[in-house]
Amino acid sequence: MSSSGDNTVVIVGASAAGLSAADGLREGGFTGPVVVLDAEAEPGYDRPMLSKGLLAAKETTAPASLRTREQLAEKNIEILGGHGAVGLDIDRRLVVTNWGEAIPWHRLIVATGVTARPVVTTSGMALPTLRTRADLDTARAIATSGKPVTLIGSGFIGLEVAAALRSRGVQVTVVGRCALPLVSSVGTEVALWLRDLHLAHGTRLELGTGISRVSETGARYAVRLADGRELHAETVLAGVGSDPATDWLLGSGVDLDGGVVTDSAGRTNVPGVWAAGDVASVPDPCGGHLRFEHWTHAIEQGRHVGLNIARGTTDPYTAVPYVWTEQYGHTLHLLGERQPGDTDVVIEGDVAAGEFVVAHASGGELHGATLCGRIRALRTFKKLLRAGATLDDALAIATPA
Amino acid sequence: MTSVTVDPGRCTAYGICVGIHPDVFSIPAGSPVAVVTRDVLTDDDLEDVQEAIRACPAQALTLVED
Repeated sequence: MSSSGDNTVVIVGASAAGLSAADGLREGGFTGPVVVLDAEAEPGYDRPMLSKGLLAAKETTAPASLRTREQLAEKNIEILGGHGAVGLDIDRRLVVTNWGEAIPWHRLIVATGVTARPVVTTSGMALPTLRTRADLDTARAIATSGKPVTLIGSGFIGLEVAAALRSRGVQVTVVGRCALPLVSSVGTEVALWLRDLHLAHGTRLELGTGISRVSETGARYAVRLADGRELHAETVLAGVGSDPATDWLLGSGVDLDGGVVTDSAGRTNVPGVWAAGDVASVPDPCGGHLRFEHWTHAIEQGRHVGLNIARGTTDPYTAVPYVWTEQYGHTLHLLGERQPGDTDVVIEGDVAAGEFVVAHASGGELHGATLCGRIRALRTFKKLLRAGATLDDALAIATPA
Repeated sequence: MTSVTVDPGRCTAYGICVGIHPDVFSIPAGSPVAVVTRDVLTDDDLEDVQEAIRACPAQALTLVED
């Protein structure tokens, strides 16, 4: 490790955003020391596949490492495995680790990501979730036990896990607060199709009501719903969202509000401290702040922060948000951000047939698109959204057949 | 001329590249790896192909300049 923090960039977090920020620094021409703190002992890995291919697979393939030792050595990027940050001193420019080290930095990039929001039983046990490599082992053990699974949460993770478990013949019940899965992201028509897709594959859905508590009854669970009903469950997995991993920054002086608040360039309120990836709460087009938990966002915005620091620039990050989800052999692609109150217009194909392009717009202004099949339209729509196009522009280029 | 290659030893057919640039990358039904469907990249392709290279969790894509 470099002995002085004279121009050292310390990156806290070695997953997609942190590693991409390190790459961005080198790509931008930064030649000083780059030190990446990794709370997990093993190097960063391919997280999206935990709830996608890896849980569905019968073989126990490990998630792929994001970088080889050679790639890191070639770029002179130093990873400190098993070193998590526990505190930050912005006056003396030190980050304190779980080993008690005080590591000096000239620039700091916060890339600690998020942790799965815990659901705790009435006796105080946190229910298993799916966020880390260790969680995958637990979920796999549940899948191979053959016992029915109750999933709490009907967001991306809950639905992907349900589909993966059904493909292995496991009985699945999904409990979710929204009346239709992902309705705020994809609109009513696609959400109805998605609901029917799950029902057609034998997933039991208890939607439109959240849970009020989960209690342990011997080796089983009683899941009390908000409407007063009680479901009995053999095993339970929770996927109710995530919280930014910012405990170590409490009281540090770095502005926190549902994440690390940054400007469009990635800078926090503290000079020299930047944030990247899931943990960063970035300005959204509607004038608020928003966190994006998307694989490509972590990579592209992480790289962008690295480039800005290396070049001494404050260029805004403006890429079109993109996320995908795999369920029962269908891949849904979501571009942009559907806004509350948007109208959902089928631009191409047929939603019921599982092959479609649906635009999300209001007042003629295009906000996003949801695609399934028809992936050749992806780039076209990304370009339209980047250019601030209208719904009419989208309709004009569509091939409806 | 510029092209992109897929390392079949690393690729596991996640399909993220296909989602970023479906005119250049494809996963034919039953294929264990992604394939490149456009041999020579145009200037218009480059930005998205470079994003696909960065986004590949298996780091299986490489840009080749001849």
